[in-house]
Amino acid sequence: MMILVGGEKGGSGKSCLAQNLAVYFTREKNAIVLMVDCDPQRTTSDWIQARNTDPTLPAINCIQLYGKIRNDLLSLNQHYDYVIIDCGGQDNLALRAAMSVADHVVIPLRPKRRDLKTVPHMEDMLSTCKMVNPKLLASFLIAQCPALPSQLKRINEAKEVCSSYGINVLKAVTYSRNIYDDSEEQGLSVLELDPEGKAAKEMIAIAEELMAMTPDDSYEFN
Amino acid sequence: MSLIDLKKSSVSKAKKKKVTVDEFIADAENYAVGKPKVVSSKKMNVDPAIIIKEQAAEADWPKNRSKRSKPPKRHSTFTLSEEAIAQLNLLSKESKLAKSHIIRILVNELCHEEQQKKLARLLKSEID
Repeated sequence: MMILVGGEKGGSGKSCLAQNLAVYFTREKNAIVLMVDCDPQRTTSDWIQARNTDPTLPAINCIQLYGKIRNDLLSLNQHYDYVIIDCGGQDNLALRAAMSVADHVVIPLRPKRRDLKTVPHMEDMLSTCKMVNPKLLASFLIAQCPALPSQLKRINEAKEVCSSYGINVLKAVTYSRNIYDDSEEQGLSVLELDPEGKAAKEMIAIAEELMAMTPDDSYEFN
Repeated sequence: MSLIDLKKSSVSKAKKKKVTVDEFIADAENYAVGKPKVVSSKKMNVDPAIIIKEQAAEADWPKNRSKRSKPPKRHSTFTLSEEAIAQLNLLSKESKLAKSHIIRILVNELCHEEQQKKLARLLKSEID
């Protein structure tokens, strides 16, 4: 299965989500996972490098691919249970190539005006992509939410904005938590640093929601 | 500030043009240079240079208008009093407009329907 974590907005937590999903499938599903780092910033490659210095952690493979990577991904997908693709925050060849073959695309967005302004372009891209990749399941994830109760309205409004474009919005959200940065710096997942913590529960909820989605085979989003 | 105004305002029922995988992927390069042909093409498919040119033209509209739509002109001779000549010279100096231009503006003004009454009054003038 190929899961793309992408989008047009930088800093919305794409690499963080991709890394935590990779650990979830490795640890919880005993799966063989490959991470594909398409971001020239190499955030995920550096995370894997930090991770590989600790032999007690389950190993996750990672490669860097750029440009028209469609055929590479199709080939790699045959050798791994899960291929998690981390695309940088821009619309480029790698993002579209990955989207054209992925089973899932997850687009994290912060509940901020500047992030939500990318939704119209993403929706256009997703609905065009659906014509060439009918199995694609697309979801927006509202990420790095403020934890203050007074900001709940903002989170709900962000979900409402994304839903209005006819693309699925995950019920699960992630909150802004220091543990995401702490774990990333050590080559860990939040599932490893604090398995019972709130952040771990957020990641599990996202993964389970994605896996519970009914496979699709249509040329339009419903 | 509420985010709700970012909701999709209208549901587009236009059917999408069929594209191939290669066209969809390659269009990322068009998008990068601001000329998408497949995705978001309706929103962005205008050369930014053209937009800037148009905006500049709009800003200079009165100037450009007079340059673009100059009707053909020819020399005409009229007889004016010394006083009228002096007044026209003064007007020209103060407004930095050619004397012929001032006369054209006055004629144009007087040709308007609402100016007809004013013209009738002027015709009654006893000034020689």
